[in-house]
Amino acid sequence: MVTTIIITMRATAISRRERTEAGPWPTRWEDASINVPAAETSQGHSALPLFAWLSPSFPVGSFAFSHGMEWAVHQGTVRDPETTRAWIGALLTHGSLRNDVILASCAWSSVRATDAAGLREAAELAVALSGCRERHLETSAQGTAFVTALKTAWMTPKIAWALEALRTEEIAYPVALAIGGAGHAIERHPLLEAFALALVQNLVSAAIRLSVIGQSDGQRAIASLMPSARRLAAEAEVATLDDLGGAAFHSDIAAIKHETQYTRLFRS
Amino acid sequence: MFGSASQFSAPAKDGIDVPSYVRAHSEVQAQFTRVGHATRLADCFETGGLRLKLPNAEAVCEGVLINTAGGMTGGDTARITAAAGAHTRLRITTQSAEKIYRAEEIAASVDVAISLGTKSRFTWMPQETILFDGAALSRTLTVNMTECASAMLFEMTVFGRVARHEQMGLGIFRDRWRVRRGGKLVFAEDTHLDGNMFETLAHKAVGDGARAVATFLLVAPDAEARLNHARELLRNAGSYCGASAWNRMLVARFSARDPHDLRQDAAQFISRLMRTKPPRVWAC
Repeated sequence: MVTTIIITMRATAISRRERTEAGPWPTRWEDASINVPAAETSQGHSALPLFAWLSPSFPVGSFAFSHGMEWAVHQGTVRDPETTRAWIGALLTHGSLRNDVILASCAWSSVRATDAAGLREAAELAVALSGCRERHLETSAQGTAFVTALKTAWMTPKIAWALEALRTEEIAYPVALAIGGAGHAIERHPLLEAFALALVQNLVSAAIRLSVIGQSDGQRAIASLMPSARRLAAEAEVATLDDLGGAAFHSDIAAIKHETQYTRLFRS
Repeated sequence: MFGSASQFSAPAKDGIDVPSYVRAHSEVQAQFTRVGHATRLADCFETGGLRLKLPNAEAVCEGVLINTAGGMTGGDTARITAAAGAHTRLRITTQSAEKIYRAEEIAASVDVAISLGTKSRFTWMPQETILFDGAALSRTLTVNMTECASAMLFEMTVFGRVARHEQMGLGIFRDRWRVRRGGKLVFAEDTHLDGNMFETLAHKAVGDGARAVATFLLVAPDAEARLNHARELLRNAGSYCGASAWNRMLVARFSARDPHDLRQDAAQFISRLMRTKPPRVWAC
């Protein structure tokens, strides 16, 4: 018990010291109207920005992507509440959603530690792992749009540092979100939980628009997948890039098949 | 010689104590260069049970890897390193399917590292890897190539001895691909199956009962131009498959309940798309 308290106290002391040592922000971002005030970020540690960033109205266009599920619906594999839930659940435990949350976690810790090499490695891997043309589009289009939104309204010196460190046109969505999160001193745990749930929610919303399930079943699906999303976030929090990996072979093939699907609502 | 009784002591836990010297560590390092119109082996180092034979060295040099141990078990390691110089034409395959036996504690590991020089053309198409029930395998495939080199990579994995109606229960399979072109990571793939494979593969989004999966990757300046042809070729395939192309790469993924279907689809797909005959050992 005593040990726990001491550890907690030390951790608090260290994080305080880190914050003061970070010192005055670089003067490169002089445009005070763009910079979010220091007090907002360095003291707040609030997860509040996540509600804006992960809301469907945030201009990243998540609503346009089904991650290959539209093909699974076309094929009849995803056809009712149960199969929708099973499909999304498998992606959380064995598929690309798991990788996305791990990538966000690793990118977050690199930005937090001002580790440019680590951030570059995670960012490069996140794009290279996309696996097919539409998945590549899905992650890079959302990532790029997310970065544009950060630059427009959510800039902090930490974000500026991260974007400078990457210097690439293509940023995968999980990495962009992690940069925003770490740039606004949002703790990793709420960031990953919210991200995992947002990924679930986006696919459930796609299933609703594909008329596979209704609103009520959609909410039931999200609620029932929440424990899995939570478990994934906890797992990703201690994961390294070495823990990436999945086996959602048919979801990956579905994403490929979607590229030649004749009638479609979604871009992936 | 038999002084140490501990080596022959009663089995520990539920497995058998295997002294470390029993583990097979094999390695092949080979370098290829272009000589006139031909690609020649410039240097080769072999150790352990792994051998590299070159039955056919015409315009395209064909290397056949032979694992004289006939399979791998937990703790065995195999390392294959090949460097193909500028303008070389090289294809490497394996003499037979690689069998991965039940592992007691640690996984078997296979590491393949390839480096490709300017305008070289390289093909990696080993025969399938068969994971026996209880097998544990960790595999890596790393390719470093120049901007204008071409690499075709293919790996097929079979879960359980299907011909013997074996159901793949517990096992571990990790497969990590990393392809760097001009120093930049352009393709990465991480497959990770752990636990009861039969149950995991039954998920609709995972394998829908698949017993074999395969990935084909072509990284080449003209890769995207082959997409329509690739899709045409896969249209009547018996396995569940598809092809996609982006960023000067073409990928095709396969999954099947019957490994035989997949092997046939893939062999036909590769030979027609790449306009080559499959390696002779593939026909056996």
